[in-house]
Amino acid sequence: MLEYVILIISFIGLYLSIIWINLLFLGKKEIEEYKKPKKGYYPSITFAIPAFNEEKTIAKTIESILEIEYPKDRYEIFVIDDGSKDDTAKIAKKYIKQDITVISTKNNGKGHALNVALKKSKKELFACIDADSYIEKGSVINIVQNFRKKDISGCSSSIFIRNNKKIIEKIQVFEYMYAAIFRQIYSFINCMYVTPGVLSIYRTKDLKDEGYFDEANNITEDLEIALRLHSRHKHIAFDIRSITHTTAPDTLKALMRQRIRWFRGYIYNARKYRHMHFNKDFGTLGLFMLPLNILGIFLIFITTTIIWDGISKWFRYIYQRVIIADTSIFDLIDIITMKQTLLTINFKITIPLIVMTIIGLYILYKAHKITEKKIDLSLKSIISFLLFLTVYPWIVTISWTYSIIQELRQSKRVW
Amino acid sequence: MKEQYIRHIFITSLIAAIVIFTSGIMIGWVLDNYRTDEVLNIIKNNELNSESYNIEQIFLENIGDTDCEILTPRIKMISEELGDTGRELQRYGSASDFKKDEFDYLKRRYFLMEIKFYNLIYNYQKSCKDEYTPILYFYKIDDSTSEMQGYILDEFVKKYNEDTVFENGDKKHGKLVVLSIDGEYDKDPIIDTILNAYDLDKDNLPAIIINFDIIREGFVGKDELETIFNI
Repeated sequence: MLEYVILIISFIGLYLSIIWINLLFLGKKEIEEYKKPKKGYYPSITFAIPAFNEEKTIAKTIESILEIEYPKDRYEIFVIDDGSKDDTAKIAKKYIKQDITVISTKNNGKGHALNVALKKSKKELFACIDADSYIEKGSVINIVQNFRKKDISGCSSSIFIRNNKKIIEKIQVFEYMYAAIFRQIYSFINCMYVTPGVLSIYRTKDLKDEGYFDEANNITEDLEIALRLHSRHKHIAFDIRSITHTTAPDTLKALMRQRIRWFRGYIYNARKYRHMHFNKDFGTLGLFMLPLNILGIFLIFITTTIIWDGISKWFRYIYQRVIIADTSIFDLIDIITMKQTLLTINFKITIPLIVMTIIGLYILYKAHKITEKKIDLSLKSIISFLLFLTVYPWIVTISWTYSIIQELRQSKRVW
Repeated sequence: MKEQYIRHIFITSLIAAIVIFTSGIMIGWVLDNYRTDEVLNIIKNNELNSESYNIEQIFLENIGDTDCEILTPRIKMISEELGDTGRELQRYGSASDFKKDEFDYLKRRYFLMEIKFYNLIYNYQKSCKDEYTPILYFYKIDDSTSEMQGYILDEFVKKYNEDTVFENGDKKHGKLVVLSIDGEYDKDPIIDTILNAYDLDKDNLPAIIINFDIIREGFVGKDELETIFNI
C-alpha cells in the first residue's frame, strides 16, 4: 500500500515539475517583453502604509518610497497608524514636510487601515506596502509597466528577506526565491491567487468598484482581495524584477505564528471562494491552481508521514543494532559493490526523484539569474538549503495541522 | 490562444512524465531479471558445493577415513557462501517489483539449502566433534522482535565466532553458523515439519535451536545467549 502511495506521489511530483519547467520556458518571453520600461508611462500612485507598532522600521519604509525612481509629482504617501502604542505615528509625522499624510485610526485591522487610505485616494493606482518592508529604487517603475495591459487589476513584486543571517532566516530566503519564480509562472497562466501585502499595486478604480478590502474577520486580506478580483474575472500579474525587502520571522515561534495566520487565512478564503474550485469559468485558476493548492496540503501531509515512517524505521534499526545488539557504529556501514548498488536501486522512484531534483535546482538557479541575485554557496547557506528541504516541510505540516484544528474549533483568528 | 498554449503544455508535460516514469519502470523490470539471474546463479553454485561436500563426506565414510582437516574448510566455505547468498537474496528480493514469485521460489531453494546444510553439520559433528555449532533461527517477516533477534544473533556470531572454543557443561562449542528461516513460509512442508519436531508454535516466533537440542521460543537476549554458551 505504502509503495503505491509513494509511486503516486512521485508521479504527481514529476508531472508538476515538468509543467513548471515548461511554463517557465514559455513564460520567459513574457518576462522579457516588459524588461525595458516604456518612457513617459507614469500612472499616478497612492502608497498606503498601514502600521501597527512599527517604530523600528517605519522610517526606512517611508524613505525607501521617497527614493524610488519615479516622478515625485506622480505619487503620494499615506501612513495609516492603526492605533499603535509606540512612536510609529510620531516618527511618521517627521516626514510630513515631504508631503506625507499620516492618518491615525483606532486599531481596526489592516483591511480597515487600507480602506481609510483607499477612500481618500484619487490616483490611478493604489499601492499597499507593509511598514516593515523596503522597496528597491527601480521596483515601482517596473511593476507599473504591467498596468499597460488594460485587463490587469493588480500586480505584486518579488519579496526578498532583509535579515538573512540566522539559519531560520536563510531557510526563508530559499522559500521566497522559489515563491518569486513560481509566482511569475502563476502570473503567466493567470493564476496569481495572492497579492502579498509586502508590495502590491492595484488599479484604484477596480478596488473601489469591487468593494474595497475585506475588513471582517480576515487575517489575510491580500489573499482575499486577489481571489475577489479573480472571481470578477479580473487579472493579477506578478513582476519578478520588482524587488521589495521584508523582515522575516527570526525565531521558530514567530515563523510558525506567521504561517498559522497565513494558513488559517487560506482556509477561510478558500471556503469563501469555494465556488471557484473546479470551475471552468475561472480557467486554469479554477481547474488547476486552486485544486492544486488543496491537493498540496494533502501531499505535504502524506509526504511528511512517509518521511516520518522512514526516519522512525531508521532510528529503530540504529537503536536495535547499536543499543540492543551492541553493534559497533562502523559495522553498520554496509560496503557494497557498484553492481550491488545498481541492483538495489528502486528506479521507479529514483528516476522521477532525480528529474525533480534537477528541475528544482534549475528553477532555483533561474530565479537567482532573473532577479540578478548572487548565488550564495557558503556553508551556512548550503546547510540552510538542506534544512529547507528536510526540516521546513515539517514546520509547514505542523502549522497546517494546527491551523486546520483551530479552524475546525472555530477559534478566534488573530494577527 | 494562451489557454490553448497552456492546455498544450499540460498535455505534453503529462506525456513527458509518463515517458520518464515508464522508463523507470522498464529499467526496474530489466534489473529485476538481472537480480533473479544473479541470485539463481549464486544458489546453483551453493547447491553444487553442498552436493560436492556431501559426496565427499559419503566417500570418506565409505573408505573409513573421515578426515576432518579436509571437511572442516569445506564446511567453512559453504557456511560463508550461505551467509552471502542470504544477504543477496534479502537485498535484491526487497528491491524486486516484478519478480516476487521468482524470488519466492529462490527463497524456498535457499531455505532447503540451509536445511540441507543443517543436516550436513549433523553428520559432520559425528566424526569431527563440535567444531561447528549450528543455530537454526526461525523468524517472522515484518516483526520487530524477529528483526532484533536477527541483529543480536549477527553480533553474537561476529563476537564469538572465529576460533573460539568454549565450554557448556561437558559439550564443546565453536564456530557458530546461523541458519535463518522464515518460520511462516508455507510453500514448503519441511518448515512445518521442523517446527513440529521441535514442538515450536508459529505464534511464538522468533525461536532458536542451538546445536540441535537447545530450544528457545520468543526473544533471546544477548545475556541469555551468553549464559547458554556459558561465556
